[in-house]
Amino acid sequence: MLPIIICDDDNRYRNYLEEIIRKCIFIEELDMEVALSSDCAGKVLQYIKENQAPFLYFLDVDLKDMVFTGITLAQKIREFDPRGFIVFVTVHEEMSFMTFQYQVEAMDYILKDYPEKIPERIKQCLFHAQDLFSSQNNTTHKALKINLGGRVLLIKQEEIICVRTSSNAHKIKIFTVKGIYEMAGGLVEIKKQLDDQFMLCHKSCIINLKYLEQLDKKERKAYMSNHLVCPVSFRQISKLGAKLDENCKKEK
Amino acid sequence: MNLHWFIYSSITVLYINSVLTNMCYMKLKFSQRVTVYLYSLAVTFFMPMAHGTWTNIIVIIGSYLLVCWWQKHALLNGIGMMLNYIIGVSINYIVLAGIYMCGFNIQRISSNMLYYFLYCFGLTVILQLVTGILGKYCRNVIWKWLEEKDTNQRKIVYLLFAEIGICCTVFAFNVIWGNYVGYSTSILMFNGGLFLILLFATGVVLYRLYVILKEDYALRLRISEAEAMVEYASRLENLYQEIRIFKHDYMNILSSMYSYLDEGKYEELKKYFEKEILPSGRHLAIEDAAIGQLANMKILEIKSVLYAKILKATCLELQIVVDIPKEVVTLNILIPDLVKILGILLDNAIEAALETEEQKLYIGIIEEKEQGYIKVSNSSKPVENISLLFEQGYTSKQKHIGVGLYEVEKLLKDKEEVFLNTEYKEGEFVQLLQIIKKEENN
Repeated sequence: MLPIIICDDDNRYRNYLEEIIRKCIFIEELDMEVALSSDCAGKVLQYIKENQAPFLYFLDVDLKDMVFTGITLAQKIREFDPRGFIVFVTVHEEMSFMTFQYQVEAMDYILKDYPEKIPERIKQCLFHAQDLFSSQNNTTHKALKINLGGRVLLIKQEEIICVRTSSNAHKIKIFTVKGIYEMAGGLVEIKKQLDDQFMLCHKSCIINLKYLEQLDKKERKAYMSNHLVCPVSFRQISKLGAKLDENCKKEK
Repeated sequence: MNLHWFIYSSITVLYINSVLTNMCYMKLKFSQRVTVYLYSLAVTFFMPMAHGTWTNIIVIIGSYLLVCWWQKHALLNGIGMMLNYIIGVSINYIVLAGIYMCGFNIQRISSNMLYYFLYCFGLTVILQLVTGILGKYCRNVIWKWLEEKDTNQRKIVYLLFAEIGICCTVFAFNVIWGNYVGYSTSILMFNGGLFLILLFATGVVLYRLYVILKEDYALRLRISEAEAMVEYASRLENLYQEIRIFKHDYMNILSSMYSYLDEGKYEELKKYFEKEILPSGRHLAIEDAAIGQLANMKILEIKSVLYAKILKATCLELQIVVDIPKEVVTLNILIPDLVKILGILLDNAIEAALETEEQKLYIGIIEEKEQGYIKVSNSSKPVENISLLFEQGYTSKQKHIGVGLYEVEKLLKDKEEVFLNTEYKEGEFVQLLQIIKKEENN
């Protein structure tokens, strides 16, 4: 069960939001409920201190509170509920994706200027939060958690093709089906987080055996299915060859 | 005799070879070094002894051709190897002069196998050290610089090539002539002095050229920035004019609304509101935001590159969102590098956005206490193979104009505080630069 908190000082608009959210939960049979709907930031903070996090929040950016704006309220919320899901409600003029994403790690935002789209957007937000919430609790779901300078990014292990060190600096690069991610750190630490589908085939490279297509034993190179070519160390070449044969047999 | 000659050749070649390839464009692989060595050995061994210095020249030219075949970059490699040769011969002279000063007989060294071996070995070690260090410097700084595809710089590369070529010819001529006449100690010393001066002069010329080029480049950058700022100012003035006009229109809208209200035509007022007022408000918000938010960018160089690219995107009628919510004062990265990187990323984004229906471009920059984020995203057709985007020579377009992401990769290679994330997700191509700030308190 994921409880929802709504905070907006405009009573009519808040009730409007609440009504859409309730309707959506009812129709889509979501495992959620509106726990608190308030015009006061203090009450929200009070509530999350007393109850079990995480929550899904809908916050008005332009909150006319004595102490807080929507953004500072969200920052305060983050102290108590680092895993919570924040959705901002705002108008185009005040919209800043950079603030939402990188200052408070908001999950999404809803624009008031497009009233016709609001119900659909709210539905998307609820579904997205539901997905994230269940993947957080689901331990069997394998994801690599990487820390990008305070921001945590979850990458599905099955999507990782290979991990390589960057040539000069102490950086590593994670190549996935969707993109390339750079972070500080070393391969050995990453290897510990990965399952046995992965193999440290060279001091500069971890590969996912699932994406290994071809092995050139003479040149000691592994050809991956994304056309990347990875080096293989002398010691690992025969081991890798055996694993590749094993995989081929499995497929047959 | 033959064995003696073989050993003699192989140790002579050892130090000639170490002179040749240390300052090439790229470091030679071990196998390549061995190939060059064996080639030099073969030439020295099979050429009759009488040809003397001609052997050297054939060795050098052959090795040069080999290196060019492996690495391309004929000009840079030429300069590197010739420089290498001059430095090598000069050091050879310095060492010989040193030995002579100490009162040893040079003739005896070259006739005694053991002494000769020691001499060659020592020289090889010294040469390896000196040219190794210089080569590293060349690869890291100078080659990178000369490689830029700028016509002026290209011209200077040609000049350098000619200059060093002449030096080398004079050099080789002297050595050959000396060989003909027969080395005497005083000529040896005289030649040594001559070559040292030549080397010194060439070095100074090279260095001065490098400095001047660098300054010139910085100056040109600053001029183009100043131009962009002037344009930016005039654009702001235009914007102000537009706002004045809008204020005027706004009053008109209010008065027409009043007339609807006054006459109690609420249905018509609703229609009027939805048709006229709502869209114009949205339109204004979008148009203004793009340029207006640039005011928060306090780093002028970045502001001007952003401005130039936004202007380009506006001319191409892209839908641009610029999102710089707070003042950006410092970013922990060399600004000229960031200017280049942003230029490439934005050019690519604009090009890719043009190929889509939505034609969206987004630029977001935020500076936090511990780090800064720069996000460039665009609507994009599905990217086929994202992993290969940064490889050399890769391009997703058929006629590619931009310099490509490989350049970005090169610029970011040794920056430990900067991370680039690239992602394709549901029709949007996102590039996020994360710049970690140094801890100033430590």
